[in-house]
Amino acid sequence: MARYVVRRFIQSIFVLVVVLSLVFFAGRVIGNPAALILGPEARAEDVKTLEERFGYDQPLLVQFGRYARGVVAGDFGNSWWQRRPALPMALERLPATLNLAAVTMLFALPLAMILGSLAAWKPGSLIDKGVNVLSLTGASAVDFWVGLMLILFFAVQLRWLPTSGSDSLKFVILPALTLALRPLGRVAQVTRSAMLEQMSKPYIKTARAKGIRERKIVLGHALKNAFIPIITLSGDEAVSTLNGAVVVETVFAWPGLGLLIVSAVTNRDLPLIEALVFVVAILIIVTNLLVDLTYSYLDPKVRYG
Amino acid sequence: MTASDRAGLRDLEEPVRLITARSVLGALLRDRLMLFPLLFLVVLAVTAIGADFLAPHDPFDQNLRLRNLPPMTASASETSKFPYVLGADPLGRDLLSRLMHGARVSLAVGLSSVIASGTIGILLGLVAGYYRGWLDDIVMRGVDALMGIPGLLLALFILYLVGAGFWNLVLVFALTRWMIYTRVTRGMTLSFREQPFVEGAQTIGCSDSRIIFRHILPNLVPPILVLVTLEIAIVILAEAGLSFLGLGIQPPAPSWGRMVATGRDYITNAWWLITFPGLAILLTALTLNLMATWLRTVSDPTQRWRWFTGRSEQFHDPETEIVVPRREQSSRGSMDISTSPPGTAADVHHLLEVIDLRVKFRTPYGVLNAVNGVSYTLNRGETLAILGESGSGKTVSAEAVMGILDSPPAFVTGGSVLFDGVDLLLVSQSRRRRLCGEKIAMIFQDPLSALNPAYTVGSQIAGMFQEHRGTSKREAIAKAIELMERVRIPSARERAQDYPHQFSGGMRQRVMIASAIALDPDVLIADEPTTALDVTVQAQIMELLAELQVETGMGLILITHDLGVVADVADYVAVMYAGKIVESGPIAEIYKRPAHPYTKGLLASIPRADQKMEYLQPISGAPPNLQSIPSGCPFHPRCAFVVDRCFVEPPPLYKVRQERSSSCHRFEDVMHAS
Ligand code: SF4
Repeated sequence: MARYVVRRFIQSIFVLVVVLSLVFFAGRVIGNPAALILGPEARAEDVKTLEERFGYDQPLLVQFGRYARGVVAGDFGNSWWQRRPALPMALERLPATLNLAAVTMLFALPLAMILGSLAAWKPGSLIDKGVNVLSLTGASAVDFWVGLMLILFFAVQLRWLPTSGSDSLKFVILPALTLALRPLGRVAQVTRSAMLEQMSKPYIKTARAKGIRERKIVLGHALKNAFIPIITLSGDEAVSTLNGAVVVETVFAWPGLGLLIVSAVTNRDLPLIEALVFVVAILIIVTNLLVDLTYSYLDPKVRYG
Repeated sequence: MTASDRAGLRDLEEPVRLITARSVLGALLRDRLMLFPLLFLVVLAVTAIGADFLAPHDPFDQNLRLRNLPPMTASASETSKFPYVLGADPLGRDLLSRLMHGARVSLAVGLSSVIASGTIGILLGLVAGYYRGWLDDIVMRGVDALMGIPGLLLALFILYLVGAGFWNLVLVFALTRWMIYTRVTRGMTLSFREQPFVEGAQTIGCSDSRIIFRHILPNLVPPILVLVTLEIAIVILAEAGLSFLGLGIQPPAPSWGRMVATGRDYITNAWWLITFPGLAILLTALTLNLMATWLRTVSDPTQRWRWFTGRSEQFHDPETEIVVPRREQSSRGSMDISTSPPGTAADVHHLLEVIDLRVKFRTPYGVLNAVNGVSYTLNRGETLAILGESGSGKTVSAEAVMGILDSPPAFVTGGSVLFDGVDLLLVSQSRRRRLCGEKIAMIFQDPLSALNPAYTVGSQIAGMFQEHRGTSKREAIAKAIELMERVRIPSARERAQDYPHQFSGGMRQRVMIASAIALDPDVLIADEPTTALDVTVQAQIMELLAELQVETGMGLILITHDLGVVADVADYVAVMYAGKIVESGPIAEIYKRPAHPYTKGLLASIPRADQKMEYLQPISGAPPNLQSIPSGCPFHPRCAFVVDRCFVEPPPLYKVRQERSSSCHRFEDVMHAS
C-alpha cells in the first residue's frame, strides 16, 4: 500500500507541473496579459509599456524559466490589482474556504448516507421518494439564488442569522446550507444505489441466514462495503464544492478562495490567477490523495494486496 | 463537474432500450403527471421564440418613474396599457418581459452549447471506441484529466482569456462539457463493436465511417438523448451562475442570472427582483432534470420497476390464496408423501416438515411460478438430497424455508413450513430471524461471494455468538477459532484475522460451514456446497459435512444438480422439476430403479461406476419456462414415455411403495424399464 501511495504522489507532482505550464502558456499565447488588463480601448504603446514593465515582451521560454524558478520559490509575482505578492494573498483565503467546505461536508455526508441507506432499505417508501426529490432538487438548485432566498428569509425577514461575513460560527450556517444542497442529493442517491447493489449480494443472504438483525445487516454489512463508492464520490463532491464556493462566497461575502477567484478574473490579474491555480491544484491533489488513502484502508483487497 | 458527471454516467451505463416516439407516447399515457413538465417546456420554448410578440412591454424600455414597481400594481406607463404583472426593475423595465426575453437567452446558450459540446464529445467517443489503440488512450486521458478539474473554475479561466459574451460562453461550455459525451459514447461503441451487426457490416466491406454513422450512432440515440437533457439543465444553471458573477451574458441583454445579481442590491426592499428570475431558472432546470429521469425510465423498464416497487415485508401475498391450514393439507391421503423411516406413523412430530410450499416471482415481465407445491419431511440425523436442474425451484424452496427470499420479487403464496411443529411462515419476523442460524443454518454455493469481503473470517464466524448469545467480542473470536479448528482449517488462530479473498475456495467453504454449525443447529441446508470447488476439494467438503452430521445429529438438506456428489451421503432424495417434487424416496432404491422418466434421465446423465460409460446421455430439451409451465405433466415435452393423457392430466404424487412416490402416470412402466 505504501508503494501505491508513493506512486500516486509522484503522479500528482507530474499533474501539477503540467497544469501550471498549461496555465502559463495559455495565459501568454491565447491571451495577452497586458492588453487584457488595459481593456479593449487601450492604445498600442500603453500595452507595450506595460509589457516591457512586466517582462511579457521577452521570449516565451525566458519568461517560462523565470516563472518556473519563481514557482519553486513560491513566488508568483505581485498581484496587479492589490500590488502585493500573489501567493500569500491566495493562501490567506484558504482557511475560510476550507472551513466552509468542511462544515458543508460534515453536514451533508452523514445525512446523505443515512438518507440513502434508509431509501435503499425500503425502496419505494416515503424516504426513498424523499431522496429522489432531494437529488432532483440538488441537481437543479440555483445555488446563488438559494443563498439569496435564505438571506431574504432568515436574515432579512426573520432576522435570525447574519446576511454576510465570517466572524462567528453562525455566519457559516447559511452558506454551508446552500453549498450542501448539491452533495446532499448526489451522495444520498449514490449511497442508495450502492446500498441496493450491496443488498443484492449473496453475502447479505448469508447474513440473513445467520439470523443477523436487519439493522445490523444494513448498517454494518452492506454499508461497510458500500462505503467504497461513496467515499470516491464524496471526494469528487468535496472538490466540486469549489465550484459552488465561487458563487456562494460571492453571495455571502465569504472571504475565501472563491471570492478571490472572481476578483482575480474580473480584474484580469494574471499573477493572482496563476497563484490561485497553484493553490487550487494542490487542494484537489491533497483531497484525491486522502480519498485514495481512505479507499485503500477500507478495501481489504487493496490493503493486503 | 467531476462528481455530477460520474454519477450521471453510472446511470447511463445501464442497459438502455430504444426510445421511440411510440414508447414515449405510451409512457406519457401511463405517467400523466409528466404532462406538466412537458407542458412547461413547450410554454418555455414558445415564449423564447416568440418573446418579441408575446412580451407585454419592451424589455429595454426604461421608465424611471416605475423604478422597483411592486408586482400586480396598476400600470402607470404611457407607452403601454398592460399592467406590470411581476413589477419593474431598478431601471423601471417590465420584469415579466425581461424574464421572457431571458428565456430566449438561457435556452439559446443551453442549446448552442450542448450542440457544440455534444458534437465534439460524441465524435471523439465514436472514434476512440471504434479505433481503440493509442487514439483511445489519448482521448480518455484527456477526459479523465479534464473531469478532475472543477468545471466552473476552468470556465472562469477560459473566460479570463477570451472575455465574456454569448459566443464566448458557448465556447466555454463546448470546451468544458464534452467529456461526458465522450465517455458514454466510447463505452457503448466499444460494446457495439463486438456485436454481430457491426462485425457483419465489416465483413461485407462497409467503410468505417458508414459503420460508425449508420450502424453504431443510431443505437446511441437513447442514452445521448437523456444525457443532452441533463446537460442543457447543467449549462443553463452554469450560464446563470456566470452571468450572476458578471462574467457571462453582459447587460443590457436580459439574462436570468444577471437579473438576480441586480436584484441582490435591493434585497431588503424589492423581493420580487430576485424571486422571479431565480424561480425561472429553478423551474427550467428542475423540469429538464425530471424529463431526463423520466426518459431513462421510458428507455429501460427495469429502471421503472426498480423505482416504483415497494419492498413488502409481507411473506404471504394477500392477493392470492391464503395459507391452507395444516390439518387439511396433510390429510390428502394418497398425495401425502412421507420420507420417514418405516414404522413411524405419518403424523408423528418431524423435525422439519414442508407442506405444499408455493413461491411466485413478480417481475416486470410477468409472474414466474418458481415453486408450485413442494412437500417433504426431514428428521434428526437424516440427510435429504434435493435434486434438480437450475431453475427447478430447489434453491428458491430452500430460501423460502429459511425465510431469506428476496421479497420482492419473490413471494411465498401458500403452504407451511413446520419446524418442531411450529409454522415458520406464521411466526413473527423477529422470532423467525432468531431461529435462523440458531436452529436452522444454511451454506451457499459460492463461498467467496457468500462471505462479506469487508470483514475478517474470524469476525464473521464470531458474529453468530455475538448476535445470538450476546457473547463478548473476545470470547466470540476465541470460539470462532475453535470452530475453525473443528472444520480443520490449518493455523486457525492466525487465519482468523484474514479476509475471505485470502483463502482458497475449499477453505472458504470450511469457514462458511464453521459459522453455520457454530450454534449447533438442528437443520443444516447446504445449497450446492461443492459446485464452485475443485473435484478433489468437493469430496473433502462432503466428507466434512457427513462427519459433522454424525457428530451433532443434525438433519441435513443437500441441494444439488449432481446426484453423484451426494450419493454416498444422502439417505433420501427428492427430485424437483418445474417447481415440484416429481419423485422422492430412499436414495438407494431410486438409484437402482427410478420411477420417473426425469430421474431416469438424470441418472443416465451422470457417469456411474457400475454401468458402462456408453449409456451416458443428457436429457434432451430445455428446462420449462416458469412463466408458462406446460399443461398436464410439466415434463411431457421432454419425456420419452409420454402418452396422450400426459398432455392434459397433471399426474398426482402416486405412492409407489412404502416410502416412495412419483408423479408420473406411467411410473410402473418406467420402473420396469429400469
Ligand atoms: S406423466 Fe407422462 S409425460 Fe409426465 S413423466 Fe410420466 S410419462 Fe412422462
